[in-house]
This record gives sequence, C-alpha cells and structure tokens, in this order.
Amino acid sequence: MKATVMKKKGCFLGLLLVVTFTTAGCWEGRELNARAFVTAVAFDLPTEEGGEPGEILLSIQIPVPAKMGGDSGQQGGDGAPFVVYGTTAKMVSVGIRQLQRQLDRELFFGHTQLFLINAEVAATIGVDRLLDHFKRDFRVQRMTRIAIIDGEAKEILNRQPPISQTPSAYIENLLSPQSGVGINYISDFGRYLVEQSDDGIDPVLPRLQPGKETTMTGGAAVLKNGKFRGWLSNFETRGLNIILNQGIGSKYEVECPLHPGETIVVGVDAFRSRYRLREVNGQTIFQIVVRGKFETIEFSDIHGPLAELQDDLEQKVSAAVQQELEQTVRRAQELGADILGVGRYLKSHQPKWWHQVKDNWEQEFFAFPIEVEVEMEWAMTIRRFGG
Amino acid sequence: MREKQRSLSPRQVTLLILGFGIGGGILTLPSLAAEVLGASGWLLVLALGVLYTGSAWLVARLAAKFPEETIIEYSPRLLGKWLGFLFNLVFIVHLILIIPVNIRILQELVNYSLLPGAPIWFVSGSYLLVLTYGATRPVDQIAQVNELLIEIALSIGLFVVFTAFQHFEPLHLRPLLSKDQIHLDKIEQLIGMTFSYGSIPVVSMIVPYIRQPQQVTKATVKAVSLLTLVYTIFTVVTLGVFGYKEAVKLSWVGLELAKSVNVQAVILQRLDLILIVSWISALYTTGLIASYLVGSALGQLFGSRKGTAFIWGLVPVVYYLSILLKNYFVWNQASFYVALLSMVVIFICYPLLYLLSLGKGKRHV
Repeated sequence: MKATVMKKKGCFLGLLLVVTFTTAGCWEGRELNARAFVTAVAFDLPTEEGGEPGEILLSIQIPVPAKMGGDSGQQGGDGAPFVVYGTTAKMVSVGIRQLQRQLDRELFFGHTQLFLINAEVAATIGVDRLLDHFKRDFRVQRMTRIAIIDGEAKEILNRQPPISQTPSAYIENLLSPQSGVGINYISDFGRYLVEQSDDGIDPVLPRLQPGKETTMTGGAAVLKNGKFRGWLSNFETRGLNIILNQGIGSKYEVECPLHPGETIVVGVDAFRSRYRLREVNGQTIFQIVVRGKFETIEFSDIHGPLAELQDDLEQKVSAAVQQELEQTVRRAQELGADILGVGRYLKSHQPKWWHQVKDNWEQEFFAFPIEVEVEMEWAMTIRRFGG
Repeated sequence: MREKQRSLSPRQVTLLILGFGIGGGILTLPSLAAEVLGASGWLLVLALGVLYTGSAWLVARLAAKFPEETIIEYSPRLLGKWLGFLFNLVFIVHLILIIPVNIRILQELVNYSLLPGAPIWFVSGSYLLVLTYGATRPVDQIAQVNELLIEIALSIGLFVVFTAFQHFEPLHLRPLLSKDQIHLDKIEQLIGMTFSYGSIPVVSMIVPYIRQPQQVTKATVKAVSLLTLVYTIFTVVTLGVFGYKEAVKLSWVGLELAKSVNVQAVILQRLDLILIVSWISALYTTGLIASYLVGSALGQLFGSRKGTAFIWGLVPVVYYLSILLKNYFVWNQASFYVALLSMVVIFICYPLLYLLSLGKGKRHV
C-alpha cells in the first residue's frame, strides 16, 4: 500500500517536473532582442543608375529600443530611435533576404504598421504586385496601413516625427480615424484587399507627401487594376469620404446669405449617403442622396446665428457640399475608376444589367449618368447669438 | 447497471454534439460556401443546417428506440449479422478518419500562428497523446471537459464575429442567388461543407449514458439547430465583411476575420491569437469525442466493454494517417472523403436503420 502511494507520488512529481520545464518556454523560442521588428516598409524606384527594369528599392524601418523614449529631436542619423535599411531587388522576398544579410537578428513583419508606396512604383509595378509577399505572410496584419507617396517613400521613413513617438506610429496615427481630418482617406491592408477583389469598385488609398519639415496628409490615390491611376485632391477626397459614409466631420466656408462678401464657417457632420436608381425620360440615372447636419462655428460679420438665416444658409451649405461631391464624381469618371462603388451597387440591385456591362465597365462608368442631391440641416445648438 | 452509468444531462448531450461538430471546419466553411453559391453562400449553410436538423431528429428517434444500447450493438440485429458488421466498420472508419484531419488542422494552426518552427512529431504527437489520454476517461468526465472548453471557444468566436460587424457591408451579400455566382458543379466544396455538420452520430453512441433518454431527441435537435445558427451567423458576417470574391481566396477565412478587427484593450488587440488559442480547445473537443467514440465503438464491436486498449492501439495508425495529410490540399481532399462517408452514414444508413426499426417493434421512449 505504502509502495503504491510512493509510486503515485513519484509519477506526479515526475510529471510536474516535465510540465515545469516544458511550459516555461516555447519551441525554437526566440528572445525579443533576437528579432528585428519591422515597423514600416517603403517601396521606391531604385536611385542607382544601371538598375534592371522592374527593380524596386525596398526600405524597412526598424526601431532601436535602446534609443526610444527620449526626445532626441534629430532627423534620422545616429541619434534617431530607429534605423532604415534599403536594398534593390525585383522580388520583395529577395529584397528581404538581402536585407537580412545586413542584420544579426531575424526580420519580423508581425508588427508592421505601414506600407508606403511611391506613386511611380505603384503606377508601373502595381500595388497588388508589391504587396503579394505580405498578403501571403500569416504574420502580417490586415489592419496595417497603406499609403501612396507623392514623393520618395524612403524619405518618410527617415524622418523623425515632430512629437516624441516612433515615426511609424506617428504616420499610422495620421492615417487613422483618430487624425480627425476629413480630407484624409482612411483605409488599411484588409480593406484594400477586399476592394481589390470585389467587382464594381476600385480601391483608393491615402496620400502622403514628404514636406520640408514634416509629412503632409490629405488627398488620395486612385487605383485601377492594382495600379496607380491618379490623385484625388484634398476636397475631392473629402467628397469621397462623404459619399462612402466614412463618418467624417469637416468645416466648410460659405458666403453669408444676408451680407455678401462676408464668410460663415460651418462644421458639418452626421452625413448619411445612399444610392438609388432613378428613371428620367426613359434614362436610368444613378442618384447619390446625401443628408447631413451643420453648425455655425465662426462669422466674419458682426452678427452670429440668426433665425432669418436658416433657409438661405441651409441652401448655401447644401450647394457647397453638392458642388464638392459633383467634382468628386467627375474626377472619378475622368480617371475611369469606379471608386464610388456604382458597379457594386448595380451588381447587387440590377444583376442582369450588371452582367451586360461589367466587361466594359470602365468605359460605361465614364459616361454613366450620376446625379448628386444634397440636403443639409442646420442643427443649431447655439451658445452665443450676437457678435 | 445502466442506471448507475446514466450520468449525462440533456445539456451535456447538446454540448457534446456541438463540441464534436465545431472544430476546424467552421474556419474554412464560408470560403467553401462562397465557392458554391457566391454571395449567397450563407443560404447554402442554412439549407444544409435545416437538412441536417431533420436528419438529427431521425437519428435521435432511432437512438431513443434503443435507450439501453449503442448503434454498434443494435445495428446487427436490424441489418443482419454481416451487414450490421459492415455498417459498424464503415461507422467506425468514418470516426477514425476524422481524427487525422483534426490533428492536421491543429498542426497548421499551431505552425502558422503560435509555434512556427515546431515539428510535426512534436505538435501532432503530443496533441495525439493528450487526445488519447482524454479519450480513455469515462464519458461523464469527457462531457465535463467538453462543456467547459466548447463554451469558452464559442464565446470567443462569437465575440470576434460581433466585433467584425464594424466592417460589415450588406452589399456584399447581394445579389441573392445570382446565376453567374452559382457553381453547383463544385461538388468537392459542397460535400466538404458537410464535414462541419457530421456530429450527429454522437447521440447513437452515448444514449445509454443519458440520464433522461426521453430528452435525447430534443437535445439533439437543439444541438444541430444551434450548430446551424452558429455556422450561418458566422458565414453571413464573414461574407459581409470580405465579400465572396475575397473570401474564396482565403484559406482560413475565420482567422482572417479575427485579423481584421481590433479592440483597443490591452490583451484584445491581437484577436486572431486569442481566437487561435481558444480554437485549439474547439479542435480538442472534436478530436477527444471522436477518439472516445472510436474506442467505445471498437470495444463494443469486439465484445470488450473497455475501449482503452483500442484507443492506445490506434495511436500509431492515426499518427501515420495524419502525417500523410502533408498539406492544405491533401487534408482538404481527405476531409472531402470523410464528409462523403459521413453523408452515407447519415443519409443512407440511418434512414434504413430507422425504417427497419419500425418493423422490429422495439420499445419507443
């Protein structure tokens, strides 16, 4: 009896020992300091002469943990809390292999926050082609931000942000909803892949411009068949955000209806946009109906909000928004890229019709009658009436 | 004798069917459904669920007619000695084949997310040993483990699904049943989908252990209805988020869904990892119940009440079979054959046994 108890205790202790040794680690465990976390990846055209056609300059940004946390305030270089490596290659995987040769730790893309693609590379090689490696890598997150760069993408990686953060986190914040800027287009890797796969909608990605001092946001890049087709201006991007129900708020300047030449700034939000098809004289028109609210936030004139302003001001604001949305629609048609998702709507609501036009949709979309109707309502939560 | 063993509550029966059914299949189900019916793939999942709910009723009624026996015991009486033996063999083989597919799915999930470099012998081998050890325990213990694990996995899975609603686009689910999206010729995908519904036979093996055998039909139908509901909601949300064109390009579309959402709370920022860890539990319950059923069925087939020796004896065979499923395409092909076999059992053998049982005039609970 005693021997059995001892045997059981022995087995239990043996098992405990095995568990203690095996649960404390993991298979082929790598310490954090044995990994190089790539926070951002940039694609440019090679700067060196004599490069082969189809080659890209692949750059990666890796944070240096020992230098993080302080206000170095320097532009890259030795004091910066990050390093940027670059290499030239035709295939991204080959580029990564070349970069790995310069590093004593394994490159890890599980925490990559940004893909930055130079517009020229996006136009010639194509975004879809460049990101092929990453969309097959299980570790890459679908929430990674992508932007098309109106300039050199690597330059953005080398730039220390104006406030103390890692550069990629800074850019990621600029490109995320928390930036709170209506002229930014908010997208990510997952959304890009969905729009790229879908019929009847072409993807749009945000634009970044490396300025002299800082990186500028605003505007967007239109893609067609996975390649860069053209830019949307800041206001066209805002229009697109409204049409696509991106939940933005923004500010518009309109002329005071009572005092020509004077300006009223209104803050607009609560946009609701919906699509419908309308028959007019035997012709089918695609109608974008937008409703929204606004508040008056600044007056150049001596008066503040007045009851007699209401109807005229609502018309003025509606007209200003409508003009912007119409410009966005025109620009999309000029570019031949259905960024509004008109085709996707047709596919959903008129599948037979869509079936007839889908193979020639780029041409069809160019001449497709699209009408915008906007009605803005003054929400009128007023703090002060007078000047 | 039987009264002492009757320890399973109707709730545990429901959860055993759910635990067996919900495993790796659900992670690929929306892609398969989208390949067959495009944006309306969720309708196919729902239709299959309704069909299987009907079958569940029939299987449970059959089980209720023989509350003291498992299907292995009464099938030779209904079909005759040799035909009954043949049916039992098919029944057991179909259960055995589920285990290597289950192991292979676990291996892939672990390799691409948790332990990228871990070799097959370690991951599959240790998992198989844990499965086998678990399967040698009494059915009430298995039911308790299943109860805990499947509820955790389901809660996290549903959390991911509801979080993903932020990216839901209703247009992705339209048009309904568009001709150019219907590919009923994709038989492999269509049959492969039924892999997720193949858990009904559990009830035929556990009915002698159910505390209130008269509740078995209700518990079984409830389980398959819940299974249908979970699968349909999951497919609707997945197709609504990705659209069918993107969904068919993704192998583990369920995990991609978790990779698409982010909750701004410390441990919830990587929902995909949380889902994988919890889904290992769901995979484990499938493998555990399948292993238990195999051991129990073999024990009864060969006249031994204890199936433990059979379960341990099958370890090398199952391990070898799991190694043969060397990649995604091969295990998908294997799951197709398992699903086919399961369909034969559920839609041909069970109705035949039920019809024969009507003629035999056995006690009806």
